[in-house]
Amino acid sequence: MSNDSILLLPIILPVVSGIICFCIPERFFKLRNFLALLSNFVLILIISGLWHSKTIYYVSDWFMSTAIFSLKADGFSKFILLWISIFSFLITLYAWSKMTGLKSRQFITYLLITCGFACGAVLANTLLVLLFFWEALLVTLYLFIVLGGENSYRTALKAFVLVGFCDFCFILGAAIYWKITGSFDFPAKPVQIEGLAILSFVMMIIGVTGKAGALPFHTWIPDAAIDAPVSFMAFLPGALEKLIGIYLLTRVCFQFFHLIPGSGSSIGLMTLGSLTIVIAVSMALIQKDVKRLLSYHAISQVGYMIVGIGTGIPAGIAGGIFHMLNNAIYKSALFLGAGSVEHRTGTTDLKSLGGLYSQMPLTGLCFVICAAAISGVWPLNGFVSKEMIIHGSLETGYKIFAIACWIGAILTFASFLKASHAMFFGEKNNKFSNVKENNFSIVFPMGVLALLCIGFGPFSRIPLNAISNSVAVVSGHDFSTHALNLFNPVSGVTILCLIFAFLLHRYGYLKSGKKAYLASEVVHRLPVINTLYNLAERKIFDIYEQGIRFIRVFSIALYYGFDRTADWLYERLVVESGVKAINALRSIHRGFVSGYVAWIFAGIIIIIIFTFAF
Amino acid sequence: MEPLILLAVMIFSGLAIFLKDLLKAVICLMISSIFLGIIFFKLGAPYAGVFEISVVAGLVMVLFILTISLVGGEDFVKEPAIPVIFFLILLGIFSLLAVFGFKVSFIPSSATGDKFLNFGQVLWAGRTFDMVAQISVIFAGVFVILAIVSRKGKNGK
Amino acid sequence: MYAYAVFVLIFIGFYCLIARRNMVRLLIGLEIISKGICLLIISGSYPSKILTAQALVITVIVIEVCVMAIGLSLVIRAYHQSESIDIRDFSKLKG
Repeated sequence: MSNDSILLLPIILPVVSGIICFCIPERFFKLRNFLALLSNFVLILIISGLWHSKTIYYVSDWFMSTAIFSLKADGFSKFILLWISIFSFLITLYAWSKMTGLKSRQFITYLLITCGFACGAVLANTLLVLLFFWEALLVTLYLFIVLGGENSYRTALKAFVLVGFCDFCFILGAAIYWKITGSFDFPAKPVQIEGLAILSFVMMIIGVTGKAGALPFHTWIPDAAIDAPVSFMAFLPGALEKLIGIYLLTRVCFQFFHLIPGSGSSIGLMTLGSLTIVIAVSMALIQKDVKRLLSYHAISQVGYMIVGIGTGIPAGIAGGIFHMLNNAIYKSALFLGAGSVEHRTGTTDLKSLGGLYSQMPLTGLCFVICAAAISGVWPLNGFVSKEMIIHGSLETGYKIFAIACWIGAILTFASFLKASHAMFFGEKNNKFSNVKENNFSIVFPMGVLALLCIGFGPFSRIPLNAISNSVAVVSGHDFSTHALNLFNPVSGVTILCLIFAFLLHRYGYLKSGKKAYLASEVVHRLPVINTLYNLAERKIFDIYEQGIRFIRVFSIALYYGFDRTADWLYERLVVESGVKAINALRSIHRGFVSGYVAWIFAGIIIIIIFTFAF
Repeated sequence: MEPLILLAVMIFSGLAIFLKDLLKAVICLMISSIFLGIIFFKLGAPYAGVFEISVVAGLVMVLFILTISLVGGEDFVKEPAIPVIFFLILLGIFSLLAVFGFKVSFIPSSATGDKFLNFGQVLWAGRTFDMVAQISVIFAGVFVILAIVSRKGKNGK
Repeated sequence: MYAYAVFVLIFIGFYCLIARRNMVRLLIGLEIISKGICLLIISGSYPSKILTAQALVITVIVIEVCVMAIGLSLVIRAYHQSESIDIRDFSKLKG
């Protein structure tokens, strides 16, 4: 067990360079961007340098208290750290062109600080350290969203409250866990989920899945898609939150607790995941704005990951983790593509865009590749990870979760057909006739990610081996043998789903008069579903909004019930009786000398009596 | 001889509060002061007697007569119509209480010791602080009277 | 005996203060109380400490004179203010 302080570098290096970038004046923005890129690149180098060593520890005293600051970098942490740093590098490169002015300085700073804190959360070996970095991410989340515009503070507050509530549940769960095990360190042996541990497990799951963006704490993500900058959407809800959220979910399920496949908690997790998939992707289907559509898809993909990890079977778990990685890759690439279109045309509304493929070929190509990857088209990486998840969920014996995954696949493909068709193919809009392709720094990240999408399909054994070497619970399995296998029933059903989705899209497109963005109106106008959609658009199901309404009523009740009542009681009892007593005493004063002298005389007599009597 | 003079002092003081005419009351007070001064002489306190007669029976009476001439007599103040008998009854009760209840028979003597030989030394060396206090009180009185009787103020004159 | 006279004088003085309404009469009552006090001092230190007692009595008389003078000037002033020397008219400090 070596005590290696190089583990402090992934935390300190980004935070310090973030603070330095904040202090560089605006004139030297090229220097600032270059410094940010350089620090990210150095971070990647450091982490890849750590890759081949065994587990590294770092333990030190924390400010003379009894708590210990302890970091550990085992295989899983190093895997996640590598991807955090890669995404941070790519987004920084993207933000070089996309964000300008004062916002750029703040954005780079927040990005670097978030990267540093996320590395800290991943490296933590003690509950206290983990909680510290976990909560610190809330601050930069709020600040990021506020950057988006003048009225973004409402969404920022909503995000803060929702994610903060989830973090609070996580703290409660951690406190109960501390009570069960008696120490803050990550345990060597998992705890069985029974008795008090069930409450701890549920609290921690709420905390982790809420942070990752699953139901029911997801409602801030679509609002943030409109109100916050696109680079933020690509970084945090697209990549980082899923990476650290699912990392911690894996640790919670398999290192803190012992998740048995087929047990109550496993079924609960898979139900949560399935509901997330189906509900979020149905909301995504009818969106008319590309960014909102992408954000709903981000929510639904988290459902896949939760289903995968909830199965408890090695194939499902590895599938969930691999899906997390794939989702980060193609989701952030999709957001970057939408941002690239927005950078040139100024809008992301599907109604007004169209036919941009000939003008922005590289963007269109990357977008289409990643859209295919997210839908699970063979032979890209999405197909591999989805197959693993569906195999795992079928092995638990309950077919309904696999059916939910297939429904999700249908609707995902349909909505992405709609999005790509509306944005890049179809009729051109004359307003955007002189739009051309973006420059290198915007296209390069998208290109890299799209290549990774293509690469991780056939060469999926590279990440899968890394996962199986890192994560203890799936170690020793080799998953890559039947990854791209088409000739089994599961793959057959998946391909059927994709064909069905294509037919659905074509039907809607023709029915709505050859307008691509209205292709999903067929589903929208189904009888029961229509009412549900209308209710959802009016935010009836949004727990934040309902919570705000409840708090208003509650505060009025409290005001009249307690505050006014206490005031009235005080007035009646204390003040009025005091006034009456004082008035009684006042009436003794007449204002005449003789009265006072009489009192004095009586007093003297009494004193004399006492003197002579005792 | 002394009890009679004491009785005279008491009677004239009683008269001073019961006479309706202010001038007559003041004159009764003056007579009672003179009798008190005689008692002081008899008790061997000549300086106190002189002071009493000259100051109280002289100066203060002059002040009273000045005020009465400025303010006017008893014409317009209606005293409460309590008969004198009430006072005598109260006096009787008080006397009984004083003699039998309070056991008024002796007075404890004053506490300062005399190391001096004559009155001058006692006054100026032993009680110097009293002299200083008297002088400051006299000054204070003068200033207060000046302030009160000055015509500036609300009347504006 | 002297003690009894002192007590009666003090009683008379207090009675006057309590039961009379004319302000000048109140001052007369104050005067009678001072007389009783002087008698108390002189008769209490007869015969051994008579010199000290005289000094004290002189102090008391001086102070009493100043108090009388100020009181009478207040009476004159009050008479100028409101044309009356009845203390029941000066009860503004009531309550």
